[in-house]
Amino acid sequence: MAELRTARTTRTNAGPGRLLIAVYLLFAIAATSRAGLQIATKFDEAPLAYLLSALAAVVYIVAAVGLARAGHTGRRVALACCTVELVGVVGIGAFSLVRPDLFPDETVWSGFGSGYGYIPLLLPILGLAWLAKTR
Amino acid sequence: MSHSAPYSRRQGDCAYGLPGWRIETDRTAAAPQTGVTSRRSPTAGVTGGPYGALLRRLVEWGGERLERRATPVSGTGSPIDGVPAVAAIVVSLLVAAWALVATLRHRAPDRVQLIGLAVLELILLGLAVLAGVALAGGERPGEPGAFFGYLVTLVCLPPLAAVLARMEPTRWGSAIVCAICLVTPVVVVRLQQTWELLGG
Repeated sequence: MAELRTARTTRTNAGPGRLLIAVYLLFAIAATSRAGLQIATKFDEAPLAYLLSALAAVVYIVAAVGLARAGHTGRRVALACCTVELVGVVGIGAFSLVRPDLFPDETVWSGFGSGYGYIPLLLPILGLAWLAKTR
Repeated sequence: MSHSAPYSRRQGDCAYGLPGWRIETDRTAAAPQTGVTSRRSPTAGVTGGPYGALLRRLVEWGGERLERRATPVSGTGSPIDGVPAVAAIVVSLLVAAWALVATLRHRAPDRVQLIGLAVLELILLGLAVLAGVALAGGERPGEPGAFFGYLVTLVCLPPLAAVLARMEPTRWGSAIVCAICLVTPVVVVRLQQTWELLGG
């Protein structure tokens, strides 16, 4: 009985979850290298955009780790990250349309992630759906 | 007719889309003017997003090949253009398609996928060697930081796919291979773009 419960609650890192982790990993790599490079070489051009890129990078890394670690804590971490992501991608997406002057250079989340095929918008939704399904 | 004609015409405007008409006439009117640039028209509608860039790239590459065949030029272009890059893109998309079929058929990653990833990795390593040779010859990428970032990422992608696929011997392992093999061509194109910025 107890085994069944743990088996059901720790499965965020198997099956479709592994695909989700893989995509999160890709975005963690993309966002980290992009933000690192931008902050290292041309931080003054668009500090807000680059700091947000860095924030996105951190969130993707933590979300990937949270999903991969699977346990109770991992689930909560992943839940928090997916929520932050969803708020971030929608908020920054809208903000980059309303006030483009604040974003002279692109972030991962500007234009609702249009530079990345809108996958940044899709990922947190899939993440939350997956967390809900495996609960 | 005098009563119903205006009404029915207005209805027709809404239903059948007068804008469609207008676009049609505009297109025929503009066609002679854009005759010069019509070579790019096959990709005109889908040039947005990462795959738009990829498609544009392939069309441009095809055009360049034709031009090169007409007038042979000594290789002064980017080291990561040409046959190896296109081979990488094609192999990657083939593996992605195969992995997608496996996913839809509920199949775990098979040997074909792993061999495909190995071939892809060899081509990508070849690209890296070409870039290294060009660097040793004194050529420099337009954006060095981004170029090396993309190059390192690119070379790591197929092994990442292979490791994750071995960890997940279900249909979702095939899905992972498919996803990573769809990302790889985009990274190849970005790599080419980061080389060219300075020279162009």
